[in-house]
Amino acid sequence: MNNAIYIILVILFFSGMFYYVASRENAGSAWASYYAQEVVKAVNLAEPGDELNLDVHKATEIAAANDITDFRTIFSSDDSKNLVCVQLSAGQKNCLQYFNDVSANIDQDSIELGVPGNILKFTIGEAKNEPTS
Amino acid sequence: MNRRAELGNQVTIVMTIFLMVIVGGGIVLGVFIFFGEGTDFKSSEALLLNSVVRNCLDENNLETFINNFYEKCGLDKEIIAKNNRVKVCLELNYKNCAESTSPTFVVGSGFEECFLKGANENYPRCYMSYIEKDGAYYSIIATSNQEVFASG
Repeated sequence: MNNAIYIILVILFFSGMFYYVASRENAGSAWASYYAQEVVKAVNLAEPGDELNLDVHKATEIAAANDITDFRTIFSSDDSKNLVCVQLSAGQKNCLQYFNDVSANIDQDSIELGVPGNILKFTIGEAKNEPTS
Repeated sequence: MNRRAELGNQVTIVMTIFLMVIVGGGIVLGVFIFFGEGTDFKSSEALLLNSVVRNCLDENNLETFINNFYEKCGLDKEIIAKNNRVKVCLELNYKNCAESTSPTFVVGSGFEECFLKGANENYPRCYMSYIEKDGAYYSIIATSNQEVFASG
């Protein structure tokens, strides 16, 4: 009886630890924050006309592990608000704003697959301002 | 029933659970240290903004820099006002510049926060640099208080 209790405790313990470690490794929100930061840094350094190519293969792997099958939805930008968003798991996107007065122009066609790795490719444009009503 | 043996068994289970808590806590701590808290975006953005302002001041005369700051430095006015602060002072060290009420150029306020000890994660991060221009030196302070936010 006591041995059974020990075995159950050990199984529960190691299951819990394994689940915790695995969840951290594939934590979509943490990686989405990381990639949002890296993309925004690149946009802040760029000038209109610059073509940026970022290796996002790891991001697509994490998205796939979190059941996101359409990679075109991972990266997006709203240039009227200087916003870059990254979504690597179901639910909300992680977003940041860039201070550079440009347009990031990240859309669904910005992902190129198998280049050999997956690449986020976009060209920096002139600023787009929010329309005044 | 051997009550001493029963007591020993119960103490052993408690010790086992205690050991598991210690080991589990160690694993959690190790994983946290390995994967980290994430990158310090505020600091890197403050550094980048300081660099942009510094280059802009270097490439333009002072009057142009002050009167056409956003256009000449290629910065979005609304975003800077929302997430950042910039201050430029003539012939002042960083601390005096942060406290100065008559800087050469300023966007925003509250630069004294750059020198607060024990500032928590809600405080902006600052980056400071000097530039020599036209025989004088200017101190430049740029800050960022932007954090990743959820949308949609």
